Amino acid sequence: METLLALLVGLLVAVATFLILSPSIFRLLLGIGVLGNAVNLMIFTGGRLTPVTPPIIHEGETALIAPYANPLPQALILTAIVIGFAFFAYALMTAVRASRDFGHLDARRLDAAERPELVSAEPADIESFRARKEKHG
Amino acid sequence: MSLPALLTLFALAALAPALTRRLPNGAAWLLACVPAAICALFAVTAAGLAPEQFRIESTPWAPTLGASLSFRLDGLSLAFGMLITGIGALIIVYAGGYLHGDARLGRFLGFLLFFMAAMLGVVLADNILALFVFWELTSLASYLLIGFKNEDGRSRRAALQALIVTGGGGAALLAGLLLFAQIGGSMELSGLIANPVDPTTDPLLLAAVVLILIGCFTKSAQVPFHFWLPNAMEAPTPVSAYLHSATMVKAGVYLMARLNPAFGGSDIWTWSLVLFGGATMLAGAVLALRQTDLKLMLAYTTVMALGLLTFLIGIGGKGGLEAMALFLLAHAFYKGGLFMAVGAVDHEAGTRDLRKMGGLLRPMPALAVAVFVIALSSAGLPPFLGFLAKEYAYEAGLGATHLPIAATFAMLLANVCLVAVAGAVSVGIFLGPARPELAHVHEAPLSLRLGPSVLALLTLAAGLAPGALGAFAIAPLVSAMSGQTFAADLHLWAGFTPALGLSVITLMLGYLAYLRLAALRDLLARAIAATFTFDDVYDRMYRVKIRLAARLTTALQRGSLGFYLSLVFAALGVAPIGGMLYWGWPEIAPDLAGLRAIDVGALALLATGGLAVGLIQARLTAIVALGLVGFAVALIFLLYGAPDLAFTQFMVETMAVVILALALLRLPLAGGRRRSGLVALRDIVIAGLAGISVSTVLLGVLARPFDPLLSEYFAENSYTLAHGRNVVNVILVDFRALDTLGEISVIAVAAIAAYGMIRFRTRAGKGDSR
Amino acid sequence: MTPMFWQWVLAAPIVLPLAGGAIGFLAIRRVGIAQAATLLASIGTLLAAILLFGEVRQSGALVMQASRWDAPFGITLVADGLSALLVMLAAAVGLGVQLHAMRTVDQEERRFGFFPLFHLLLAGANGAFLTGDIFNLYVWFEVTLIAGVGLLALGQSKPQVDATLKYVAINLVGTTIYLIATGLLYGATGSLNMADISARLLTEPDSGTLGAIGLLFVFSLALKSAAFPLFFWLPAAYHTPSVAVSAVFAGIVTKVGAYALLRVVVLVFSPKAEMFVDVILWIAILTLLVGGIGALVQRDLRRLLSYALVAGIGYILLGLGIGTAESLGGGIFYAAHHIVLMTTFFLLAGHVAGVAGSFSLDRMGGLLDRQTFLAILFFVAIVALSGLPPLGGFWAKAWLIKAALAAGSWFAAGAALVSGLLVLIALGQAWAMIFWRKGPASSDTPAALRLPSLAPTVALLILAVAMGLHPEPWLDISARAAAALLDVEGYQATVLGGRR
Repeated sequence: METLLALLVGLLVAVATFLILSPSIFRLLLGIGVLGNAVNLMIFTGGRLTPVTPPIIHEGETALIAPYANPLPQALILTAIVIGFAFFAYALMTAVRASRDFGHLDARRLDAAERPELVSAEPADIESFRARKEKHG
Repeated sequence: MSLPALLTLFALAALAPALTRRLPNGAAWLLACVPAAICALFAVTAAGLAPEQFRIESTPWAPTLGASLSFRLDGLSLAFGMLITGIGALIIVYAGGYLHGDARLGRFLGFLLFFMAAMLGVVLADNILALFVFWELTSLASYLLIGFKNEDGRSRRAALQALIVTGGGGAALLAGLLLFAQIGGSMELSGLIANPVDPTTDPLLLAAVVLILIGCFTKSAQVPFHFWLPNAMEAPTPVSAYLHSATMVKAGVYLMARLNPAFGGSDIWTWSLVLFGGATMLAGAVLALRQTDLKLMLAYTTVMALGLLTFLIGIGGKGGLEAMALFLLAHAFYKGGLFMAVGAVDHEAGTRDLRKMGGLLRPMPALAVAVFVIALSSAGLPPFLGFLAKEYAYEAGLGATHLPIAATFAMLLANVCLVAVAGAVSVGIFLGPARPELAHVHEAPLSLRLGPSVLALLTLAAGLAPGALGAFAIAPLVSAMSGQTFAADLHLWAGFTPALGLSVITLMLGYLAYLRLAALRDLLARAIAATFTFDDVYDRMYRVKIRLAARLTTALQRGSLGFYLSLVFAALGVAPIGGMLYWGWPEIAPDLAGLRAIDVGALALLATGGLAVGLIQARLTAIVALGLVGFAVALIFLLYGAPDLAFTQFMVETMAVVILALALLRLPLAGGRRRSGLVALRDIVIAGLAGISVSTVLLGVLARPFDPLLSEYFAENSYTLAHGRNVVNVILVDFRALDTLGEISVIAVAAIAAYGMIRFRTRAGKGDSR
Repeated sequence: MTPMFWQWVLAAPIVLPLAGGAIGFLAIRRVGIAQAATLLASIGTLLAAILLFGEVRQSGALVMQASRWDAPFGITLVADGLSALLVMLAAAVGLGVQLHAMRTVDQEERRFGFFPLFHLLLAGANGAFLTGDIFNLYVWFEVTLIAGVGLLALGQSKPQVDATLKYVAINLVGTTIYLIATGLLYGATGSLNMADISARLLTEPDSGTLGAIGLLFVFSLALKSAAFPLFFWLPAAYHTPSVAVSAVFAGIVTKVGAYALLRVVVLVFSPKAEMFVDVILWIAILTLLVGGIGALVQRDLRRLLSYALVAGIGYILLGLGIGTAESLGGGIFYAAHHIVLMTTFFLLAGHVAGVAGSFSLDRMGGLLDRQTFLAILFFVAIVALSGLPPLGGFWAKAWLIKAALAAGSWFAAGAALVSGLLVLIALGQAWAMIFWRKGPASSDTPAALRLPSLAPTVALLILAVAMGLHPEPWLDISARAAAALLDVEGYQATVLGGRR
C-alpha cells in the first residue's frame, strides 16, 4: 500500500504541477488544492501506515498498545490542512479581486506590477552621454 | 600624530560648510592653516629621520579582519604627505578665490578637505585594508568633485566614468592586496615589503601583482585606462590642479613606489611598468599637442607625467628611482602651478582656448612672472627643478639595463612635447599682441596668485639648492623606494654629459614643435578623427553592457506568473533527480502485501479524481473532481487509523469546493485560453519530472527503517503526563502547542487579509503613478 | 535572574508581537488602540531582544522547551548567537518601521489592519529565527507569508493585486516544497528537532535519498531568500506596497529564508553539509551577478533596490557557499548589516518619492539643492550598500573576499567584486538621476520633508553607519555566531542535554 500511495502521490504532484502552470488562474487554484492533498498524503505515508487502529488510549489503559497508527504525522497534517485551507481561501479572494480589477484571469496577461517600462535598455541619465564633448584624445 | 592629523582634517571637512557660511571671505584662508601646519609637522618629522629610517604608529580598528589604523612614516610617505598638505593648503586658498561668492563654496571646501584627509591616509597607511579604505575614499571624493557642476551632463558623465574606472581598478586592487597579504602572511605593508620576492615563482603571487597593477594603472590613468583623466577636467580648476594632477592620480604611482622594494627588479614588474608607463608617456605627450583647451592640454601632459613616473620606477635601480623622485617633485610643483594659473586666467578672461589667448602680460604681470618660472621648469631649463629631473631621467634611461636607446628616445619625444606645451601656456597666453576681446582682463586676486607664486619659488629654490633637496627629500624617497640606504649627490652642473646634449636637442626640437603647433594640432586632430578613442570605446561598452543587462533581466524577469512557476517546479523536479543521479538512486522495496479491496478502491478513486481534475476543462466538473480527490484522501486517512484527520479533511475539502464554486459565479469567464501544444508539452515534462522526483524520494524514504522514538514517547506519556486519551489531540494542544498557535495565527490573518482583499476600496488613481 | 525569566525573554520576541497583533485585530476599527498596542509590543520586543542578545553573548545559547517537553519530543526554541543577533536587529528595524509607519501609512490601510498584520509578520519572522524544529519553522514561514501578503496587498492598487497574486502563488509553492522536504526528512529520520536530526544523520552514509531531500531544502529555501534562479518573485512585488512594507520585507523577510538556509544546511544537515555547499556556492555566485545586472537597468527606484537586495542575498549565501568558518562570519555580518541598511534604504526611497512625487527615476531630478539633507543620507546609504569603505558593506565584502581567496574560491571572490561594482554603477546612475541632474520642469515642490518623519530613518542609518565605522564589535559578534553555528555538537548538547 505504501508503495502504491507513493506512486499516487507522484501522480497528484504531477497533476497539481500541470494545473498550476496553466495560464488560467482558476486552474492554478485547483492545482494548489491538489498539491495540498498530495503533500498531506505524502507526510502520512512517510510516517508509515498502520491499518485501522487510531492512536487513542482506551479507558482503563495508560498508554497506547501496539499496533497503533503513528499519531505525529496526523498532528502535523492537521496543522498543514488548516494552514493550507487558509491560504487556499486567501488566494481565491485574491483571484476574485484580480478578476474584478483586470477583467480577466489569464496569468499571461497579468503585468500590472511589472510594466515593461520599468526596465530600460538605455543607460540612465542618457543626457549626460549626449552632452559629451568633441573627441579630444 | 598621523591619526590625529587625519581626524582633524576629516572633522574640518565636516565643519567647512558651516564655517564658510559664517565667514564667506575668510573661511578658506582660515581652513588652509590646518593643512599648512600639518605640512610643517611632516617637514619637522622628516628632518628628524635618517633616510632609511621609518616609524610605525598603530591603533587597532577591526582586528577580526586584520585591519588596523597603522601608519608608516618614512621618506616616501612623508614626501607625499608634504605635497598633499602643502599644495592642499595653497589649493584651499585658491578655491576660496576661485568660487568666491558661490553659495556652494562651503560644500566645495568640505569635499576638498575630505579628499585631502583620504589622500593623506593612502600615503601614510601601513595596513593594507586601511590603505584600501582611504584609496576608495579618494575615488569617492573625486566623484563628488568631478560632478560638482552637477547640472552639466558632461560633468555627470565624467564623474561616473572616473568612478567606474577607478572603482573597477579598486576592486582588482582589493583582491590583489588581500591575496598578497595572504601569501606574505601579513596585513602590514612593512611586513610585506621587507624582503624582495619574485612573483614568477608563485602563480598566485603573480596574480596578486597583476591585480595590484590594474588598481594602480586605473588610478594613475595609465594607457589604456587613461581616458577618464582628461574627462575629469570638467571639474572646477582647483580640483583639476589638486586631485587630477598633483595628488590623487599619483596614488597609483605611490603604491607602485611603495611596493617596489618587494617586486622591483623582477622581470614582470620591470616590463609591465616600462611598457605601460612608456605607452602612457608617449600617448599623453602627443595628445597634449592636439588640444586647444589649455586645461585639456595640461591634463594630457599629466597623463604623460604619470606615464614617465611609472616608467622610471620600472627602469628602477638607483638612477631610475632618483630620477623618479626628482620628477615627482618637479611635476607636483610645476603642474599644480600651471593648472592654478590657467584657472586664474580662465577666471579673469572667461576663456581658456589657446587660440583666443595672447598679450595678457600687461594686465596680469604678477601671474605672468610666476607662470614663466614654472613653464621654464616644466620645459626643463636650468636652474629650475625641472631641469634636474630631466637630466637625471635621461641619465637613468641611458643607464637602463634593458633597451637603453629606446627608453631614452621615448623620453626625448615626450620631453619635446612638454617644451612645446610649456611654450603654449607661457608665451601663448602672455606674449604677443593684446587681444581686443580680452581688454577687460585684470590681475588675478592674491588668493588665485598665491599658489602659482609659491610653487614658482619652490621650483626655483629646489633647483638652486640641489644639495639640500637631495638630503631632505631625494635620499629618503629613494631609500624608501629601493629599500636600501641611498645618499643623494645632486648637481645642477654635471659637466658635458650625454644627458646635457639630449637636453639641448630636446629644447631645439621643442621650440620647433611650438612654432608649428597649429599644424601639428590639425594633423593629430585628423588622425584621431579617423581612428577610435578609448573614450568612445567606454561609451560603446557602457551601452552594450546596459543593453545586455536589459536583455538578460527581461529574459528572467518576464512578468509572467506561468514562467516563474515553471522554474519553481522545474527545480522541484530536477534538483532531487539530479541529486539521486549524483549520489546514487535509492533502493526501492516494493510493498504490496496486505492490500485490501477497500484500499484498492480508495486508490482508484484517488487516481480517477486526480486525473479528472487535471484533464477536465469544464469548471464545475473540475471542482467536483477536486472534491473527489479530497474525499479519497479522507478515506485513506480513515482506513489507516486517522479518523480525526479524515473528518477534518472532509470538512475542509467541502468548504474548499463550496467557496470555489461560489467564487466561480463571480469570476469572469475570460480566464486563460488553453496552452499551445509546445507549451503544454513543456508543462507536462515539468509536471512529470516533479511527480517522479517526489515519488522516488518518498519510495527511497519508505525503503529505510523507520525510527518511531517520538511516537512511542507520545504513546507512553500522553495520558500519564498530559492527561489526554486522544494522542493526536494531545500532540496538537500540548506537545506541539506552538505549531497550533502559529496555525491559529495563520487563520486569523488570512481572514483579515482576505477581507481587506475584497473590501478595500482603492482611491482613484492610487498606485498607477507608483 | 531566574531561568524562568530567561525563558520568557526568549519567548518574548514571538509572544509580544503576537499579543500586540492580537489586540490590534480585536480592536481593528479602533486604530488608536491597535497603534498603541503594537507600539508597546515593538518597544517591548526590542528590549527583550537586547536582553536576550546580551545573555546569549555572555553565557551561550539559551534554550526553551515549549510546554516544558524535553527535546526532541516537544518544540524547542533556541537562541544561539546567530538567532539572537537577527532577532535583535529585526526588532530594531521593526521599531523603526513602526515609527515610520505611524507617520506615513494612510488611514484606510490602518483601518484594514496594517499594524496587526505588521506585528504578525514580525512574530512569524522571530518564530522562524528562534525555533529549533523543522516543522515549526514551516509554520512560522506560513505566518510570515500570510501576514506578508496581507501587507503587500494593503491598498489594493492594481499593481499590488497583481504582485500579491504572484507573490502568494510562488511563495505558497515554495513553502509547500519546504513542507515536502520536511515530511520526507521526518519519514527518513523519525524526528523534527533540528539538533536531534543532525545527531541522527551522523551515522548515515551519503545517499541519493538524503541528497535529494537536502536539495529540496536548499531550493525551497533559496526561493524563500530570493536567490537565483528563483528570485523573481521579489522584484515583481517589492516596489508595489507602502514604503513601510517594502522596507520591512527588504530588511527582515528575505533574511528569514537566508537564515533558514544557513540553519538547515549547517545544523540539520551538519554531517552532510559538504554535499550541498558547492550547489549553494554557485547559487550565490549567480545571485550576486543577476542582482547586480538587474539593478543596472531598472527605472523604478524601489525596483532597483530590489535587485540590489537580491545581490545582497548573494553575499549572504556566499558565506555559506565558500564553506569556511571565516566565510560564514562574513555572510552573517553581511546579513546583520543588510537588515538595517536595506530597511533604511527603502525608507529613504520613500522620502525621495515623497518629495519627487514618484518612484520613477525618469520623473526625478534636481533634489540636491532642494533636499540637501536627504541627499547626504542617500549618498551615505549608497556608499554602504555598494560596499565602498569605510561602511558596513565594505567590511562584509572584504571579509568574504578574504575568505574566498583563502579557500581558493576564485569565482566567488570575482563575483563578489563584480557584483559590488555593478550595484555601485546602478546606484551611481540613480544618484545622477535623482540628485544631480536638473529637475523636470513641472516639479513644483510637493510636500516638504519634516524631521519627525525622517527621524526613524536617520536613526537606522546611524546604526548602519556605526556598524561600518566601528565594525569590530559586530565583526566579533558575527565571527562568534559563525563559530557557534558550526559547533554542532555544542548545539546538540545544549538542546538535547536538558535545560540550562
